[in-house]
Amino acid sequence: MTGVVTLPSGIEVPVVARGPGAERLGDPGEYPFTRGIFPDGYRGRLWTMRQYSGFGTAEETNARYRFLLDHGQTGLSVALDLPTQCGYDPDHPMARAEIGKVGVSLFSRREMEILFRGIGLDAISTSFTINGTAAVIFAMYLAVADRKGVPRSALTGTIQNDILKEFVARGTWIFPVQPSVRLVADTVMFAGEEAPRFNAISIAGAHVRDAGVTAAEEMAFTLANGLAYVDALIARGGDPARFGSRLSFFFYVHMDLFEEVAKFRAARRIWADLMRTRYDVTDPAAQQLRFGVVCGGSSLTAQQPLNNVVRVAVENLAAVFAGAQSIFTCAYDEAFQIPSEQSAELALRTQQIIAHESGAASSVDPLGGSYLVESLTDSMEEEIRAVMGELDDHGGVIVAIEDGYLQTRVARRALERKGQIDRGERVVVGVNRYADGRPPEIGEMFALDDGTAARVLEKLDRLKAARDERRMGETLRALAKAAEHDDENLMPHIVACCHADATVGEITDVLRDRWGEFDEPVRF
Amino acid sequence: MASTPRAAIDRRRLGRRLTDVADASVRDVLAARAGGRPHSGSDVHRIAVTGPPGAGKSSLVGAIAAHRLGSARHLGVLAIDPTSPHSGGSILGDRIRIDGVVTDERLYVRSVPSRSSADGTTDNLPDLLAALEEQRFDEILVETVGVGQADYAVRQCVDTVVVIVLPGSGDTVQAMKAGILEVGHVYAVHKADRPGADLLAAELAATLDRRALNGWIPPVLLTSTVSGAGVPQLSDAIDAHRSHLRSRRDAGACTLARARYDVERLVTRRARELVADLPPDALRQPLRDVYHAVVHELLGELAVPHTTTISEGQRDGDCSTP
Amino acid sequence: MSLAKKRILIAKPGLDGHDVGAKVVAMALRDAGADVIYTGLRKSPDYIADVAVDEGVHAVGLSVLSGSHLSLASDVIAALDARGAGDVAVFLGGTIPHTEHKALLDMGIRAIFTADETLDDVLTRFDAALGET
Repeated sequence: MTGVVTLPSGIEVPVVARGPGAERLGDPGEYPFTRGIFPDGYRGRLWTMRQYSGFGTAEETNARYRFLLDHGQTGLSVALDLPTQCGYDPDHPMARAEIGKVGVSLFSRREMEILFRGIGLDAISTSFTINGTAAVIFAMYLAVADRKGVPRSALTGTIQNDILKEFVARGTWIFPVQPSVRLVADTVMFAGEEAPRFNAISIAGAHVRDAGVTAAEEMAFTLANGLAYVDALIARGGDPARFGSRLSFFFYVHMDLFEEVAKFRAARRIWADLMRTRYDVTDPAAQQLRFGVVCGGSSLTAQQPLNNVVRVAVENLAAVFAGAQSIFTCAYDEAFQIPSEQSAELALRTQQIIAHESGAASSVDPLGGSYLVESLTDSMEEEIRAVMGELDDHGGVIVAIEDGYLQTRVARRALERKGQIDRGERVVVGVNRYADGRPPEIGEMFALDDGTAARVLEKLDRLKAARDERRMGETLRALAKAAEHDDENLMPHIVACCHADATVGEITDVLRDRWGEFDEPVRF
Repeated sequence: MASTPRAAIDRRRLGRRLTDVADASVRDVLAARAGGRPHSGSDVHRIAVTGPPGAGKSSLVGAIAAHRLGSARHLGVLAIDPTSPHSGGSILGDRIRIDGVVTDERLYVRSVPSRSSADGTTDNLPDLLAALEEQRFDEILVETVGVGQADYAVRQCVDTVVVIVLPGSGDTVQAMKAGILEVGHVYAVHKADRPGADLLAAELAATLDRRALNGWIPPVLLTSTVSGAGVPQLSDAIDAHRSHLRSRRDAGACTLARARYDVERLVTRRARELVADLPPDALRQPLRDVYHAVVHELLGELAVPHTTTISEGQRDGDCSTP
Repeated sequence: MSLAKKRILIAKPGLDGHDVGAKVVAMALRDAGADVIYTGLRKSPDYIADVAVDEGVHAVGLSVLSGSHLSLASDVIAALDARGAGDVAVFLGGTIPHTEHKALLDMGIRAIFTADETLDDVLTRFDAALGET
């Protein structure tokens, strides 16, 4: 990439600055993509600015989406409630207290339809934070597209669908590890054929990082999970040269700006190398590590909340320097309440200011060539590979999850980090330094409306009364039969169940009957 | 909405009682037992499950319990987890594993930390077992800590010892410590889906065959909690051993051995505590003087002077000598 | 301050899958000398109360980050009462709005913890509450 960009003072700088050693490093868009996956960085296209939303009923969430889209958001992010995430219908005993609290209750295809009322499915990119029941939610989404006459090939977006990290850091697992990975593979393979523009997996390091692991561990665990999925897809007949370009990742950006930039650059380099050497992938699109990020999370504090505006801005900057494809910035009050419209807007403005005023996006990989950043990138690479080696020695991530090794490691690291903060060894401004002694006021973090549960349950009743039970039962039985075979892709059956108005719980129960539930290894 | 609490055992009272029993100091125990004799057990069958850490003991205990609940009226489980030598605290993780396998009104599971015991058992084990037996459980299962070697001590206070071994790289019978081959009445080669399981089981069986004591050849079984394989056979083996004990065991010898164990545990524990509390000055004294100081403190435990004479008695076997 | 010989149950009621906080507290309690049972994820209030009773615990610590703490805490307290274990101290940790503290304390929750407290604070408050029993 040649070309220059003119800065505000009239000085011209290269779009891609190079110096001694630049050839060894590789250009942006060139294997191993240390400097980024696009030759023109953000100049061709800015990162996607995503903000989360979703709570209560599908109707309420739909209203919120239409507001955000009107205000310049370029993609939708759907948060689902815990019963939906864990495969329980709203009327399940474990579900009752959790309906509509952390996200929207999408217990059936009809709810998904309501969610997208007045929103063109092919006009907007939608990301679902769903894992245990990703196959079901994706099937619902496809069913809605079918009914609206939207071609599946026109759909864009993501389902997180990263079950391995659920076992370690997020907890919405359902089935044991092996069948869960199989279901992920089924979904990815199906999407590859049916909705090739839709990213059927977003392999996440964000949650394990939020739980307390280091930057290198975050990347190592996540890339290792990625390899496990690649292996699973190959085992199901997938071709990494083809599905490689559909894999995407999702990380946190934390506060040490240079560590964060270095970790992403190192991860791109490692992933490209692994795809090439382990799987003989030569297509650059399939070698590239594409990722979205969250700025905020556990780096935010409830004390002196406005400090978080600065934190998010710093992290946003790091994400831009690192070349992230999509960025979600937390609102400053996200640590202690449902963001106000004002704070949600400010979070979006943060991205826009950095994008259009700061110059951070003018050149590609502007920190490339920095003595610090390059040596840190090399060190990060070493560290990440070392941790990946430890996982390999343990037998791989699946073994490490089944026997609790990863979970224990995360918990111990979290204890360590908490100790460092408690002792003031790790500074958190407003908490262990420059604190003002005022206890933080935690507000309402989740949906408040007590009527939500009743409304959802009523909708569930109406659904069951209105649908053709016989036909629905048939689709469940067909799914059960298909699930007896390890090599059959279950997605077409799940989609059929959704078309027949089967609920999340009903579909999940069929698979529970077949595979059982994950037996959580509780170790310390 | 809370459901009706389970019937049968008064769990609340038992729960609190066991806390008191487990926490009792040696002085407390002596006071509580007053004029009673050392514990020698009852006719409630006691089954220990022992094996290395990571062997899957808890899941297997749960599976055994689930199976035996079919025939037993009430079953008590004592799950022993290690106390952290550094902090004195513990995380008692066995029962969650057991709960994951079996839930039953007739089952009572209790977790205890090992406290000062270093042999895989726990302080006040005889009293804990006695307290459970007061509840008229038909059987008691004891899951030992599993310190990576044979928890031989437990053999002295239970009837049947089940030893879990794992197939794995380099695990041959030759590599096993001799104690493992002597402590068990039943052997379970667990996680039997792993490679090497059949071979290990065959080797074990051949070795144990040559070690038959008083007509009992410890059977070797292949078990797996994933598939459930081997659990009924393991349960049958436990039953077979119980029958064998009834017909062969010298009840008197067993009683004596348990009584001996009861006394020994209390004395050694107290002695250990006293030695640990010795100030640095005391340890600079001549050994005999230090020794006498400790013995003097031990005697101080008793409110009244002791009257029984401890004399050389007949060597007796342990409870599990068939 | 020592929690020696205190038996404490750390539980995750409901569907909330964020367990690192609960595990950190469990480990801190162990390091302070307590005997801790951690239930793992997705336990019902009835199960938690059953374990609390069988294990003769002195305290139950609930960890809820899903916003459902009011109903879950209430259900656990009711379940303990129904089993004659109303004297077991119940603590709550998680994302608890300050506006709900009073209701929770009135309900019988002994103390409420949030992520900004130091572990020493948490241990001190456990110790203080258990000392009162």
